[in-house]
Amino acid sequence: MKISIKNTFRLSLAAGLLIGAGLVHAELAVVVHPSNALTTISAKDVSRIYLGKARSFPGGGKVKPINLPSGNAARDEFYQTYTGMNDAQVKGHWSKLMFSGKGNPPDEVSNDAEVKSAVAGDSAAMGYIDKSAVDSSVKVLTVSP
Amino acid sequence: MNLRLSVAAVAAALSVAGSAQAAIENISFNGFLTVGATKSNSDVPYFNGNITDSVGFEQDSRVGLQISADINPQISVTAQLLGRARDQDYDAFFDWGFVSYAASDSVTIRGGKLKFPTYLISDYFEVGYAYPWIRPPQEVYYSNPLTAISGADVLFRVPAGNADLLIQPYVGTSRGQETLVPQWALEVDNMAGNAFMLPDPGSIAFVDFEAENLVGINTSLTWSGFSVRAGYLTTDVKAQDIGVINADTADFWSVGATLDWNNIVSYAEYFEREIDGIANLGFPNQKGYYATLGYRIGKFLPHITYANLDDNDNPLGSCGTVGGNPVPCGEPLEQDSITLGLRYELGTGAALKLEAQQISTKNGRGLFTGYVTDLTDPTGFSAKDPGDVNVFSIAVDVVF
Repeated sequence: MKISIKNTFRLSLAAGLLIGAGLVHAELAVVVHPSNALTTISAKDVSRIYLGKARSFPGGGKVKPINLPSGNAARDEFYQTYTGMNDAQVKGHWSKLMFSGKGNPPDEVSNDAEVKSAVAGDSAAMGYIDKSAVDSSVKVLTVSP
Repeated sequence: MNLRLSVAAVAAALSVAGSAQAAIENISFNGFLTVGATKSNSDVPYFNGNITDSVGFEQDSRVGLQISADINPQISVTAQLLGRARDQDYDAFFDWGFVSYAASDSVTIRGGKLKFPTYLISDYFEVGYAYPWIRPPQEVYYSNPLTAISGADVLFRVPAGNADLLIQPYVGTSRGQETLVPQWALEVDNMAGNAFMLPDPGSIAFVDFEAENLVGINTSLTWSGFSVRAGYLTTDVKAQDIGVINADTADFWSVGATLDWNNIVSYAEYFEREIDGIANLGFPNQKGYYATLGYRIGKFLPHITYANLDDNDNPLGSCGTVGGNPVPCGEPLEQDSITLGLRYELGTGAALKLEAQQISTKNGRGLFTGYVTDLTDPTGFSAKDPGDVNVFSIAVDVVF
């Protein structure tokens, strides 16, 4: 197939933009209370917890996921990374569960600092924050690519 | 919007009262709302009579409010109030409400008034935002007018490799459910010697009935964007208005699948219904199916649905007697329809939907149930076959 120079240029421009977008993506750390026995968690388990399919940590113990509000860029990236869903799909998913009485969505707080203090203050909590915001009050289980 | 009373606030209030132990962990209020308009090109009312040739808002408009509270880590209560435009003054009622006990991570027991899953989306049937259509395919969803039971169910959730298996048995009774029947059923029943007044021309006939010994099971297997389900339920029904005083057995079974994968959105379901005895007059044996295929393009989801409703080997002749008079078996309702729809996401939590549906009746009037005025008929009205009818609908669904 013949690819014109113009198209090649467009392709490389598009690729460049994608790489650029990738670089500005925040690295999200999935965090739990420091007393949590886990040291790591699989992407699948994170997805199951944040979609209400699992109510416990892998290995046991009730989990209380903490979310950022709808429309938050980090939340969009988190759900896109772990579940492949956009904000509207996530809302649709939770509408089915919630309005059939089968489960409520995670509690929401407004920013990284509040996620961190909620996780630091509750041994059952789980959250996600920007990697740069991590300190000794929480334990990192995994960092999203 | 998700209103939550904070743990601290409730706990503080209760400590003032001197009983901090009973702190309710959290209470949430949520809701959903649909406002929709319809218009068809036939004067014969469609479905439960709210879709006619004049623009109407009664068919789809509704509002629901849900409250849930965690009593303790294992026990929660949830209830939903529903008000529909097709009921007078949006008279609200508790569509369902139950107490839920999480016995373990994989077993939840619920008791109260429960919405039970005859079909794929039965337990969130009223929440338009949660599905692509304005109203789920009538050829399947019309078939079981019972939607809620007083009783109990158990949700067994079993991880199965990359999938999740749900096994949900349920048991209960359903009383005083008002249900649409074809008026000819009342007419025939009237001829059989039951004192029953024919409804007014153009009106829709509802009868009250009771279902006892309702037992069913719902099973589903879900992995990433794909889900398959199968269900069965059996119950004993009574409907005094059509002479069903001794309970007759009704059975439903169904299979279905849904897919949301790489922007492809698809739903397909099949059901069969069998009803014995003279209840068959108002609720004949039917089978039906539909298939929906959609493709998500950004905020747009165009979709197409084919749906079909057919006879399911309904018996001919008499299905029983009332006062010594034979009562004929019912006449199955038969129709098919094609629906072209478009869903558009209005941000998160709201969607605009447009639909055009062409319905074709077969061997009768399908789900067109109302009489129309006909001065050439000695009775002044007739149950004419509307032929092919186009229905146009627009709706906005919101969850909050």
